[in-house]
Amino acid sequence: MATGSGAAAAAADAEEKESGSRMITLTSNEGKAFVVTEASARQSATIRSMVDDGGCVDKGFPLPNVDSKTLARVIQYCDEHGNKEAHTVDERAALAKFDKDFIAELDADKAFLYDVTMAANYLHIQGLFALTTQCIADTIKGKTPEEIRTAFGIEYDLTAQDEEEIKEEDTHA
Amino acid sequence: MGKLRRVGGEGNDLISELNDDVLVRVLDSLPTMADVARACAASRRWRHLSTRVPSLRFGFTEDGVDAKPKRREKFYRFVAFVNHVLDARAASAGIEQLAISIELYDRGAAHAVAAWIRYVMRHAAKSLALDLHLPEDPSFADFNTIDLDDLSMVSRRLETMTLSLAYVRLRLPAAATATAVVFDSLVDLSFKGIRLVGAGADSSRLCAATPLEH
Repeated sequence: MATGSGAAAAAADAEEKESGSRMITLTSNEGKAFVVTEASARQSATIRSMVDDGGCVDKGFPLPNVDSKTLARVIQYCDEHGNKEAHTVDERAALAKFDKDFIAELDADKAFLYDVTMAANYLHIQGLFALTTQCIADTIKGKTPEEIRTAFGIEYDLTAQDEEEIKEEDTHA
Repeated sequence: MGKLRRVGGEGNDLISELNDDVLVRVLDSLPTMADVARACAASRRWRHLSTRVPSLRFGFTEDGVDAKPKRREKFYRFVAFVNHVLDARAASAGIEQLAISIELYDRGAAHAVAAWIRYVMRHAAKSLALDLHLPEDPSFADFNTIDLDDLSMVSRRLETMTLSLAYVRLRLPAAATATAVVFDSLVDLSFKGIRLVGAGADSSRLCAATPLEH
């Protein structure tokens, strides 16, 4: 945040960068600003590479593809994983518990789950993307095609040729 | 609603508004290709994504099938399904992983398995994991031998190979053609329960051929 010109300020700046305590501003497509720690923002490979490339950290990062509600939820995940340690067994268990509760809550609101999934993909937040896509996959797992269509409201649009091919595959499965 | 989602989805079909990369990752998170095949029979959109899934995972168990002929039929259908998927993918690039797990109390798997190992060498997958449990019966020894001695085991892309083979024999290329076993890119190799047969067969010969990182 502070851009000092003296050697002491530069050293302090470097130290701040080292410890990840520098603050970064992310702005949603509705213009709402969210101030997060650099450690939290670095959960996103997209932002991480912009910061490391000497991007304009002070001006902040506008995210034209992410709305405020989604960004707030994404930041909740990044804060937990970026700001907390995961060295001891207890710390890792606490993070696993956070993930479990986090995804259970999202799973109850599919539209929101998909928004967060898309944002995780766009921002390249590996852990969050793995968590949300696995959650969607778990809903699909073990279901027949008809059950999948029902669960997700997918319209039946297969042609006669598709049906023929699927029948052919089915005799093998 | 986020702008990232595709517009134009009808009704409640929110999942089809996700982009292709996301849906492919969802399919890739399913436990086996049987799940992928069912999901890709849901709609035309999903059908087009089936050949983009990078991890091909298959699993077979005889659990729940009592009669021996039925067990054998179930296994033959499994082999046909694996071969069907591999055929469909032969032309497309981008197979990262082939993982096959088989628990079998009847003979007859080794031939199919040898063909799958050849496939991995030909189609440049990054990772191969075979977990085979075949019947423990000396009279099945020939049926349980995976014959690779005519295979040129060369892959410049394979990074991980895990062979967990219970009661399986693996016959590798003869010593005269030992240079035929070349894995330039392999960094992780594990064997479990393997018995090497044939003259001069020892594991050091295998490992010497691979630049493993320790």
